[in-house]
Amino acid sequence: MNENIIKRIDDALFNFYLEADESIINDSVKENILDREGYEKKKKRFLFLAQAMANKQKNDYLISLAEQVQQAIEKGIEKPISILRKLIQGETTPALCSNLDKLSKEDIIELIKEKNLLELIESLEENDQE
Amino acid sequence: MNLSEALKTVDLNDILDRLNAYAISRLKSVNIKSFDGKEPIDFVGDLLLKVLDGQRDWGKARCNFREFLFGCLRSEIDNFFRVKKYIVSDPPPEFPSFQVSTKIVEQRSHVTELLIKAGADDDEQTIFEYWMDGVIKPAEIAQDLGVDVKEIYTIVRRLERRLEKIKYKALRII
Repeated sequence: MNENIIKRIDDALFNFYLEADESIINDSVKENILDREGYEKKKKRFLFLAQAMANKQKNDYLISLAEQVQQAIEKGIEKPISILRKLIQGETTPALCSNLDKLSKEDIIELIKEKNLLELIESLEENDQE
Repeated sequence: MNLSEALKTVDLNDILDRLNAYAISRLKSVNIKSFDGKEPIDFVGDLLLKVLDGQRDWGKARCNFREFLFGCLRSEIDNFFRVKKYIVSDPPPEFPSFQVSTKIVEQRSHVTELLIKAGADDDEQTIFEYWMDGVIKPAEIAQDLGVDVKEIYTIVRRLERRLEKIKYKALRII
């Protein structure tokens, strides 16, 4: 078949599988996979690997972020410190919050890990650029 | 957005099924039954591992994570075909290919005729014409026709099966 025709069909099917409804995808899985049990086993392994990697990356990232926050506290850089204070407002460990300079890296991770860190990250990046 | 965050923007269970469905569709396009003992889900798994260990670098992507995964899978399968010298336009020996026409307009018309002979209804022909005109996104076609995009998905499923049936006849005629 002419390559232009083939390419157009390929491109269209690429978009179809990218966008199609979940029910359409489920039908395709049912229709085309004979060994469903084997398929699900493989899929479960890939899901586990992806989740494990995502968690590991998140931990590595939090450690790196905590180090940057610690440096900002040591240097007394105002913006990240004020954002950190805002983030940890109302924490159950007020003693930690009032003595930021006494925080260990692990304390910082504990305080920030479940927070929306976007503003804090931006402030640290701004500081890096200055 | 780092990889860890990106992984959380998609439903991984859904995306693996979706990528697998796409891999099945691509692998069907060549006349080969076995791919070094690999199944479509293995292509998806290999790709995922490459993304996780950074061989496929999400940091350089300029699209959303789902599109990134799809684009990488497409490229992985293309590379596999290239290395193995599988060509989508290779007909099996029972369908020797000979050149009748080189003009894309005529070739398109030949394929449409084959689709009609194979039982394609008006809806399938319409979608095929949109594709040949370069309109390939289901949502765009739905909007243009003023119908629910789900109708387009259902028609595309039928059309894909129909194209599979006529593939080698099309290769012989064009």
